[in-house]
Amino acid sequence: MNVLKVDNLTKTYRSGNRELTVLDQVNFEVAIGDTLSIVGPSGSGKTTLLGLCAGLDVASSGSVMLDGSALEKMTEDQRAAVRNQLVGFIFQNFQLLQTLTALENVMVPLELKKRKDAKDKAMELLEKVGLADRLTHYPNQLSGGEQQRVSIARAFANEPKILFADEPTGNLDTETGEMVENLIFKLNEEEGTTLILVTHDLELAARTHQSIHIKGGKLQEAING
Amino acid sequence: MVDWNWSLLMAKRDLRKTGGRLILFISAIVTGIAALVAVTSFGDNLSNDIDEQAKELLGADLSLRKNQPIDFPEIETQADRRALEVNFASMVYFPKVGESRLTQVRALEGDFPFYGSFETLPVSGETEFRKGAKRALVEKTLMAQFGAVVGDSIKVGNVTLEIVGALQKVPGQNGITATVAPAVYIPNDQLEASGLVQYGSRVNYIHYFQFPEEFDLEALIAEKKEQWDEDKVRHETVQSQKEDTGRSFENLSNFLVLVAFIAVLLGCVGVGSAINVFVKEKLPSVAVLRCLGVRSKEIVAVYLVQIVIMGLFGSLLGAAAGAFLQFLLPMVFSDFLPVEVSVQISWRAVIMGTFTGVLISVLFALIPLLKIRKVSPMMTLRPDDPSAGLGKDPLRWMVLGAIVLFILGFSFYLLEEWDQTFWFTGFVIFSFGSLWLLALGIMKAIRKFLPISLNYPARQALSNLYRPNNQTVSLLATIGLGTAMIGTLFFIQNQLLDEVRFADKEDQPNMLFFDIQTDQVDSMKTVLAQEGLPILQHVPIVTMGVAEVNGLTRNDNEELEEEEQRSNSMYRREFRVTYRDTLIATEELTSGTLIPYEAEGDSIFVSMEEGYAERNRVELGDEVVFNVQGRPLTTYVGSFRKVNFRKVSTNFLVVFPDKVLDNAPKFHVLITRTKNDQESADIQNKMVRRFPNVSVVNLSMIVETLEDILGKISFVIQFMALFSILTGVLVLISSLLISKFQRIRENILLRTIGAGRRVLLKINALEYLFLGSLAAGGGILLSVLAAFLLSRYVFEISFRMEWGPLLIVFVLITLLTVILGWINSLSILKAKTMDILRS
Repeated sequence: MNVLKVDNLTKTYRSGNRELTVLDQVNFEVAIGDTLSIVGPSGSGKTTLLGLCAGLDVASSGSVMLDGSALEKMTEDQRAAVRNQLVGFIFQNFQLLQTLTALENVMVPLELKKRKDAKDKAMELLEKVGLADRLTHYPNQLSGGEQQRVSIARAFANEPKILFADEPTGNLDTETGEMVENLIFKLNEEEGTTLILVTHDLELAARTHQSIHIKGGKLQEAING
Repeated sequence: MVDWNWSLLMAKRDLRKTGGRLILFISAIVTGIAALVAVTSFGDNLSNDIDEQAKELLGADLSLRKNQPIDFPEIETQADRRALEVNFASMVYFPKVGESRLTQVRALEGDFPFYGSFETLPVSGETEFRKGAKRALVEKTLMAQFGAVVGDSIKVGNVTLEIVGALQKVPGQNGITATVAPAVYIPNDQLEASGLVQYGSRVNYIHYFQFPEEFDLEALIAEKKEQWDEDKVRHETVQSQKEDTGRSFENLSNFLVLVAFIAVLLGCVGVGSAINVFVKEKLPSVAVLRCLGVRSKEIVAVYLVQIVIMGLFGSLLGAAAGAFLQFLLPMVFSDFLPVEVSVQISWRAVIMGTFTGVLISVLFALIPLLKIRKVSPMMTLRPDDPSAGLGKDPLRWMVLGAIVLFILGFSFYLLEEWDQTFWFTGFVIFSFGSLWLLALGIMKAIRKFLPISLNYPARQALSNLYRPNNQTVSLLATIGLGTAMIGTLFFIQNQLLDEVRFADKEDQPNMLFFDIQTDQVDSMKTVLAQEGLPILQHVPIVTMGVAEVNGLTRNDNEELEEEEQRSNSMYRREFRVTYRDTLIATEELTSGTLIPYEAEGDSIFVSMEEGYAERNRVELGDEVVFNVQGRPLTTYVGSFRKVNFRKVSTNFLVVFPDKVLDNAPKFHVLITRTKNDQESADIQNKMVRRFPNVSVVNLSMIVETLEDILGKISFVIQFMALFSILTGVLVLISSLLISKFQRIRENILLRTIGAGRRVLLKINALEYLFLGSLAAGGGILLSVLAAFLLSRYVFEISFRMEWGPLLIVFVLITLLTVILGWINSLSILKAKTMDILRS
């Protein structure tokens, strides 16, 4: 059964008098528990596609069905609710809230879901990513790898059905990148989450069940892993 | 519904890290709120004190005043105590220094004041004075002017009296009144011997009464009012005095609150601008929260809660400062106060100030804060992509509307008149708007026209004015508006003084002798001729009243429908008129003609002052019957004149033609011109010694008095303007701190590529020089406009540009900005290059 179905997805921007097509008639599907990588050169439309699939933006035409719901028919607040219930994010530049501690950063999605065990669950997740001794540290007191691990713990906190990762190792050195990569796949497997990741790194892409290649906003090929 | 629990929790967490910076942002409102609370508190205390000290204000339960001798035997029998004060303007001569000055002589009989007392130095002065005989109490300012001490003598008319005390305070009189007409109290039994009260002397006879506690004063007034009106007797009671004083001080305190409110608004512009920087820094976090599924209203709530808390903190801090500040205010306003003002915390003022502070800082903060609503979660993926950024939000216009409504509401609450409210709000919007446009225009112009050939430090300094997160607009608005207030003040003060001094520059009269009896005219003219002084005008003056206008007596007039009635003041007024067939230099005929009176039996055509006629609905051809010392005289209005009342001259509401009043009892005024102050002093002393009943006004005395009064007023306004300037300084300091990290990074970068310390200091100094001079320049332009409008429409004087005081204000404000900026840049320059590169 599909958790994500993208149908004729097109995104255009207006730049002065010119209309710029960033994504052009993209179609693909992802099954529950599957892993998918989106690869392609810079400016090819990978991140735009990720944003549309996660409900961060709205397509100019076409449809995104996330867990059976058509995102394009929703208001921003409805999409926000969907993101909170179904989606987890991992970003290239970690995107932690600078004014919150590591523990609080992980607690936020749980608190939004009004989970009474928010603190315990967050602590458990931080322990899983190896940061049990960094709970009260603020992001600027953590290294890049540690920040990304907090970000991973936060992404899994609301037990998402689907996890979106945008160049999750892009800002890390090779060794730390590899560690983070392993962590994402390990947790993904444990939690049975669907993973969609955008990357330049073909080695990382190769670890997913399927890859799609985007160039100039068009889907070039779907590679089944 | 907003999830307030979560929003409060997040706000609390966020405050731990950002609270310090928010306090900095909110600090801009502290001075404004302090001023607002201090002034409101002071107003409340003043109003209470006027209520409590109302009896001391009048000094009696009832006062009855008329400009002719009158007795009230019936009231005297009912009163416990009575006193009589005969007061009039007269020259008082100080033999020790051989100089004289126009004062208000008050000849006192009885134990007035019945409530309160004369405060004298030495304290025994009052008791000594009450012993009667040739003793006088003299206002302390007057004694200081002539270096007189207790024990010296003064000559009032023909009588020489000993000064037994320096008057510190007279019931119901304030410092300004003392400046204009310093009082000299003499016993009433010396009045006749002084020879000062003669025909034509402008004398007030004030009877003071004290009644038994249970006496029904209201009933007495109700019974007698009509008769008093008929007899042109003015009555004042404790209640009416309280209301009059209360009303005028309510106006003063409302004016001060408005000035303080401007300081609050200036602070809020600073807050808005600082929150704008804060919000810009918060946008990535907002985008993350949006990604995590938080609704925009919850995110707005997170930051709004913080702003409310900090606004409350800033307002409470301001209110506390204001509560202390009010201890200073009685000193600042001492010259204007008729009562002793107590210093107490007015909780009404504290609550109002705090509420105003929170509300207005939230409103101003909302403008940038609302941007948060439109943050797209895509910013997390594309932080630098402008298309992922902010959209337009119609709610911002609603907030702007709410701000305008608040200003309107607040000013209406104080001014109670819609037209004044609209003028004030219009002025505020115009001033802010023009400074805002100036700032935007300058930034745009620099961006467009900054020449590449300009030397590097100047170019860099100029381009810093439009760097991201710049505070140019808010600094220009706050410092500019503070400058505008101070500039306008100096401008108007100089214009008014110049208007008077101007008389000295041309061949204008500068000395005026009045209260001259008919039999003294020739002798005085001879003295003036002997001294080589010209007689520029000889003006006979006849006093009279109006009996009928177009056949309607005062009683007839009162019976008319209200909209058809003339003001009763025309019937009550004592007119001092002159007679001549020509206009003088200060007059201009605006309609009709001056029709001479040729022979007995001719109709008499008078000329009326245009404004007075208009106010009293008198038209050309109207019949006016004057009562000239008991004799009715029928006249017709033949012309209207526009009169410049500000020149040293005799000016009249009504001018009769020649010949009509030749035989009427009259007194005279002679006007001359002296060449210098010494000549003025010599002739003044000579005249006062020889003709003690004659009073003298000279230009230097008017200038001196005006300078004194304007000095006192300007001190108060400068004190209030100080809050605006302080607010500007706080905004400047907070903006310097906000941009500190950015400036450090810029400086490090410049140092890395080889810029020396001197170049960096030069860039910083030049940036503040530009900022300070633009703000001061903008403020000065505004002050020129304000001064022009005030000169033209309020003071009705010709406008002249005055560069001197404006240049001083410009240099001082610019210097202040440069110094503050420079101090800040010194710490920036201390930052270590490697620390920044690592961070």
